[in-house]
Amino acid sequence: MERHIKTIRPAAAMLRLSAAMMAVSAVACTDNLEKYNGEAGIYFAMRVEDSAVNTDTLYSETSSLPFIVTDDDMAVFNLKVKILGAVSDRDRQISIEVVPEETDALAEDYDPLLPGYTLPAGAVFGSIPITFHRTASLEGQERRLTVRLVENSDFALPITMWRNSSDEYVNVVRHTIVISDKYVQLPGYAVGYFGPFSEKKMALLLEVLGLEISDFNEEMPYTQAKAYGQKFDRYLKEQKAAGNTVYEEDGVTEMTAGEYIY
Amino acid sequence: MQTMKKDRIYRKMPGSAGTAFRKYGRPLFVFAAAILAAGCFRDLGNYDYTDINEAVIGDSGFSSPYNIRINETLSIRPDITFTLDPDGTGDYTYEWVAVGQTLYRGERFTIGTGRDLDYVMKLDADNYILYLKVTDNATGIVYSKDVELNVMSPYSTGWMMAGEAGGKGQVDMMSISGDVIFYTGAVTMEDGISLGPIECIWVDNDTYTSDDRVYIGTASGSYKLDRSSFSGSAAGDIKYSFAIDPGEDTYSLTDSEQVRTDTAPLRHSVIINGRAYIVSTEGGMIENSFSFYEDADGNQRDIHVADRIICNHSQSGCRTMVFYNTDDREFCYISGLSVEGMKTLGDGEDDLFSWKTGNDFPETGGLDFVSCCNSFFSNGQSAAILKVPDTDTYYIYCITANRNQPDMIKNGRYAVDNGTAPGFGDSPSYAMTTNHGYMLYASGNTLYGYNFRKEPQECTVLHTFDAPVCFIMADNETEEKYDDCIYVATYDDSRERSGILYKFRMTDSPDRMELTLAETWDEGLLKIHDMYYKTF
Repeated sequence: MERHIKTIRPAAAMLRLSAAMMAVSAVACTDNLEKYNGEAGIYFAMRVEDSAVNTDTLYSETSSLPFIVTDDDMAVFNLKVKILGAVSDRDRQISIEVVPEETDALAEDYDPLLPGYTLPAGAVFGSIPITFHRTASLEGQERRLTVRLVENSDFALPITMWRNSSDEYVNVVRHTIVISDKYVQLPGYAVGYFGPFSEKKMALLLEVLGLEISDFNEEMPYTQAKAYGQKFDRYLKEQKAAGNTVYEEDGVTEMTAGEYIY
Repeated sequence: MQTMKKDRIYRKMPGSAGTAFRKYGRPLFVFAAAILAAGCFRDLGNYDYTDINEAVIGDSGFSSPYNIRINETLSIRPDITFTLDPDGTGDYTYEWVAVGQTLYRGERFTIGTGRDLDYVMKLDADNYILYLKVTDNATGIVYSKDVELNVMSPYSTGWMMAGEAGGKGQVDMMSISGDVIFYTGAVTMEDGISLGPIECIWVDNDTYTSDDRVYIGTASGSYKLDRSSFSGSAAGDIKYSFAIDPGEDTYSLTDSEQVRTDTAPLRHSVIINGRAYIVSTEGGMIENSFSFYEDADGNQRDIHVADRIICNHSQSGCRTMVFYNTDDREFCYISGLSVEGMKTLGDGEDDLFSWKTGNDFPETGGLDFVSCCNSFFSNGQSAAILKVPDTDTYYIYCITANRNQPDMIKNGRYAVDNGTAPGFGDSPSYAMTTNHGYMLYASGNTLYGYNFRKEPQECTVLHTFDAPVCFIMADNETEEKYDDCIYVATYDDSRERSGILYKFRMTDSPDRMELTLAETWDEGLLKIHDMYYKTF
């Protein structure tokens, strides 16, 4: 038996022992940085418009394209995507398709989708341009186009749901674009100062306050929103005092300004 | 037995490794145990110390704060000794670092790298802590000492005096730091703006809402100026500060008073074109006017108010402000931090007067507003001077605007005896003394003290000047505000820049008014219409 036992010199034995201890120690102090080793993947990266610090990690599965804020009859909506896995040194193709059961947009509302959209070599983010048209039939209407990512030879779909928070998950392989040619609630419309949103109220707000719909594209300073809310409130009360009470579209609900105007 | 047992164990180890362990294992375990033990070992200290060269920075030059204006030279000769280097010939580096405390909080500015500091002050006006850091390069040890450094622009701290010079609006500055320096013609306007006489000046002395918050009001327009340079431009026109532009041609600011909590100033109320507004802390944006009454159904009726605000600075906080409704000739008020229009005041059966002056003077439909002054007398009385329309009959309404509404106190209404108080209605402004509530007013070159509460009334000539009085003010702003300091300005219209400012101290008693002249500043000042104290 002893002939099969490898002879180890005392110094070498200690060297190996020390090396083993160092190795164990080193492992104990090393972060377990696991890299993504899976297949190349892709998902929709439509960021939520939010002022939170971690806003870049919040995604939405719905976007709006209100033609009312522009004078244009055509708009290109860029649907953003982000890859999983390593960047590539070659162009890759992204495939999407319409989800018919979640789409009521008419064929005339948008240009047909392409068989593939190119993600340039080296890119992490990409965008899929979809051209929409402000058709006559859209006036006063709101329609939706839902598309989903499709696996192809370049990209798999390793994740479908994104965790925005502990109780909110969003689908990041399917996205709905709501196109409209009517008044919609824009970021500058603060419910606290203007009250619950309605198309009728929005139109009246613009008329009474002398504003453009584009003035509501971004959040207003609260002092300004409050001032507008007060002015609108005063108008409504004057109308009521004159016997012309303003009602919402249902003809029953009295139109009001927000509850925080004073 | 123990030896035999150990041998047996050793023999179970593979080959020469067992031999190695026998030979080296014991020391290895001892070594490992020592390392482990060291982790739990309390260092009780048992060292040999070697003296290091310590830099000792003395108090000289660091014992009292520096108040210095921009472009003045700050010179400090520190007293530094080195414990092992009495000649100071070692390798040392020096750094003088100013760290901002208010506007530039936390920002560091190196203003010198030599042992002595001679620095022509170029830092922006702010409060700083100035550090001298001495590094012994032989050891790398840094020693430091600090002192308070207050850098002021010429217009940082002191009285802003607004009015007119050569018929145009201008501001002179009484800059106060260690000494007093007058700067004349401080305002520069860009974009070809020519100011009319300035009737109102006010500055937001709160640090977090400080940018461009020097307000000047003229009959033909009002502007916000840069607080450091007093420069203004068309962009500073107050019309651009409205959340919703009221749509008038010009905006004349006539008064401003800050809403204060117990601990901090907040937004402020202003009167512009006879209407009252709140100026928000959000960018100095002016909200909609609150000069309206609202009925039970929420219908609002706009009113106009007189050009001055009645309020009480003597109490903790200032949330109640009284206005005179010039349309209905009655007093009204706001109170609290949420302003939803003006509130009217109710009268009691035995009240000294009615808040609605038309009730007491029905034949004229009430009284016209002339002026008002706020004071520290009797827990903050204010006096509104009203007159019967188209006559020389004046009344003094004494009011205490308590912080908590609706507890507004009617202290009394006093008819002015023109025979006793000559020229009362001619005064450019009025002041009420702190200790006994005498009314100070001026007619021509004469300053009068008027005891209107006494029966019969008394009026005393307090001082006669060489030129007509153009402004009177009791100091309600500075650290002397409880000391009955009175400022009086005179101006000879026949001579340019003939303005003189006088500072008096009232040393009155219940039976006698006395005024002691404390300072006279004959500095070629403008014709003063308004003054306000700027704290930084």
